[in-house]
Amino acid sequence: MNKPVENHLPHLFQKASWGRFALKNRIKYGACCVSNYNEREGRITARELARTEVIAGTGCGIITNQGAYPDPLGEGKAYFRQVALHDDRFLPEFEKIAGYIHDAGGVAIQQILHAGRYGGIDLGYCVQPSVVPQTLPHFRPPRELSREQIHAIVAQHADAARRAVKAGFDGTEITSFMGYLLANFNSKFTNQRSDEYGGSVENRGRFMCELIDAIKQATPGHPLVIRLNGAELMDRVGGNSEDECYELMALAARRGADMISVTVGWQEAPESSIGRDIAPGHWNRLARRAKLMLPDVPIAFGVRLPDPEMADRCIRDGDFDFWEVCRPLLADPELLQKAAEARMAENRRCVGSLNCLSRLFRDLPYTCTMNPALGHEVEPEYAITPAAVKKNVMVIGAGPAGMECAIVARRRGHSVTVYEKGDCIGGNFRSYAGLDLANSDDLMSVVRYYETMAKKLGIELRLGTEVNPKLMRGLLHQFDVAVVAAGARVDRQLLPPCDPGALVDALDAAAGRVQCGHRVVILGAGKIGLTLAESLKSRGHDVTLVEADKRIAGDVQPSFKWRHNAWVEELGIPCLTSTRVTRIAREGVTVLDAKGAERFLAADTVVAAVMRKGNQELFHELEWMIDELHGCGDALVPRGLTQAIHEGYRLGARI
Amino acid sequence: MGAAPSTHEMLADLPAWEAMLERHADTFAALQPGCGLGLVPKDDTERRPGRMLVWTRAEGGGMQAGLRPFTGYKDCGVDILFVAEESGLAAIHRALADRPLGEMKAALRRSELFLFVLKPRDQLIDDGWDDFLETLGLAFLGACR
Ligand SMILES: Cc1cc2nc3c(=O)[nH]c(=O)nc-3n(C[C@H](O)[C@H](O)[C@H](O)COP(=O)(O)O)c2cc1C
Ligand code: SF4
Repeated sequence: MNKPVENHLPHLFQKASWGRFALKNRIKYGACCVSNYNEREGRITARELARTEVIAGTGCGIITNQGAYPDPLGEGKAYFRQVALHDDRFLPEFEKIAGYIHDAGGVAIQQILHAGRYGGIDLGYCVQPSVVPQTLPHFRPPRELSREQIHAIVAQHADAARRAVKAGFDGTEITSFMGYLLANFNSKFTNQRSDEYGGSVENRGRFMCELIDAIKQATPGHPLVIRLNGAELMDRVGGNSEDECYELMALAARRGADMISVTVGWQEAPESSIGRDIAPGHWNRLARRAKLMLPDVPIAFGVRLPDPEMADRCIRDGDFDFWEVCRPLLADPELLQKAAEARMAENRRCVGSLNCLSRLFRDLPYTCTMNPALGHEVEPEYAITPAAVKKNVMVIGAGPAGMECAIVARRRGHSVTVYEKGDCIGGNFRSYAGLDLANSDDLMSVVRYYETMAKKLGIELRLGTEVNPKLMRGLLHQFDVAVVAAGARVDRQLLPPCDPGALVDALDAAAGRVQCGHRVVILGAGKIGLTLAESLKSRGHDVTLVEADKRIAGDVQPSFKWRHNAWVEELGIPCLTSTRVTRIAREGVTVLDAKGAERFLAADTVVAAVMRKGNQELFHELEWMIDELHGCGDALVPRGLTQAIHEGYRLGARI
Repeated sequence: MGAAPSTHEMLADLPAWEAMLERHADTFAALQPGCGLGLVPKDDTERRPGRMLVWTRAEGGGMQAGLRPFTGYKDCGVDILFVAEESGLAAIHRALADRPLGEMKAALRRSELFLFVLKPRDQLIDDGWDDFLETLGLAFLGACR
């Protein structure tokens, strides 16, 4: 029997009231869903509606629908396929979304997002209080808003709010999170005006006050939430200090905001705010400060606070009133159920990969590393449905691709056995995760999840068992399906010939199967070479990276490249780029730089972390031994965690 | 050892900047003629005119260093603008003969150097700035981290 909800996390799951609304718990789904699923002109698609139904079903007491831009020109539009709310023609789909949220017993809030400095995505310019050029090449050159334009934008927000309420939403939200228009007015970095909208905190906050007034007048009786930064992280470059952020918060409260959602950071802030390198709970102090300052105003908070138990304690201690949770619910829409029933070992934790946001900034629909079905809810092919023919499936390799495939296949009713030549599950990913400097525990949670689910679902694990034709001959006709998910290995053919025993495979070094000496030269500065180098260096080794390409981190996801660059610099790891290896010996390696200069790098251990190639031998060897033969993950094409999980899932869903 | 050079002396040290540009010719090899980058000391962003060091791609190829007045962000006539704290400028100037781009990257991270882009990304790529921005680790820096 599942534990009753009330006994576990009592503060989080406590019933609450907010104005005239009775809430089933103290959890707010944060507007974490600018999705790029919609039509280019802003109309909501079936894909979005299907995703939103899942969001409505997460069980949050308050659900915020993604930020819609309020102006017909699209100056406020930040994302390629963002939803629009500047015309009644968009209302039918908003009505459906409000309906989904109400049907699930939630209070429905519609966010209105004018992106300001980050907007004008289709226009070739963006609008701001003052002309302060962009610091990130992704965004558009700025134009200064006239007073008349400011008044028009305020009116557009009020109209959008009226429309949202007409569609059935209970209230609205405006956002300054991550540096959108409201933040641009509030911040001295982007507001350098000399009229009544610029200068003092009061003047800079005038736009915000006008928005609050206009929206509240347009939607009487309907609450307005305002997202405001507790820290912009832009103070070192001329933005607001934390004190100024709190002055603005106090101003919003005096002006009648019905809830303040405390957020952190701008897109272009020189430091992380929501990445895996930020420890869970790191920003909680900002919510606490808001609550102390404004004890009578409901405070919502959740930035980089993925843990429901921590959120429960924060509510108990009065740090904030509502846990505002976003990415953890993308990674696992059943998080709240699992938390309530003390089944967190079954939770798919958000690992902070930022795959979701990286894709938005490439104008692609967002997807989630941990949740392959996200964004595909409308496609029956992604649903886990009972298999028409129950089969005996063997999965070869217990890395993320193999385990994901095994779990999905098992959930569909197949009988599944996983063969793994190592003595534990996780594959190469496990070693890599153990070395991660950002947050090893987040990555290791993936392995723990697979362990839990294998046990729960009754997946048979044959550890320490290498599959080869001999073993297969003994198993003939026992299995209907074999899935090769045997991962990849470093492709030594890409390196010059070397003295016997002079070269160590990065994956062996990462797994601790080989101990590195003091002086280590790592050949290849992709994610494996970098992760190993950073870990070795932080444990006192003397490490040098050699990379044939012009740059390091070529296979690292866009929003994490900078992190490796920064670590390499902070740790003082020399990186020889555009450098080829010409000889590998026991004493070290000889390299040739782009200008043709040769040098010798002395080393106690030389590690190969160059490109990997898939372990594909079994495809040929098993071909005539089994009815169905499939492959997934790095065994097909070596890439990374996201692709491994997604391919494993898709294969498991169709076997 | 002589006294540390003043901000103006550092900016005006054109032979040293040009020698550095020459050594890093590869990084700027794809730049279109006429494209340029400005470097303004922070205090000068508030002066009218301030002083700005510019690196431009010459018509016949190669990079040139020069000085120009800085008259504000709106029309400063460059594609990319660096605003430098005095400490950042001094660190870069000191590293001119060694690893200046590495020092720029470090100064950016210490927030002693700040970058503004004055053209949209696609145009910067078309104009050949890709390598330089990547070298500084800037191409996709930021954007929700
Ligand atoms: C894919 C994605 C889309 C987001 N869209 C919005 C948005 O529309 N409006 C907004 O204010 N914040 C948006 N956010 C920010 C989240 O609401 C949230 O504040 C942030 O992700 C930090 O919380 P978390 O650590 O729980 O994810 C988005 C975040 C993600 C990951
Ligand atoms: S893509 Fe990564 S950061 Fe985004 S929700 Fe999924 S696991 Fe979390």
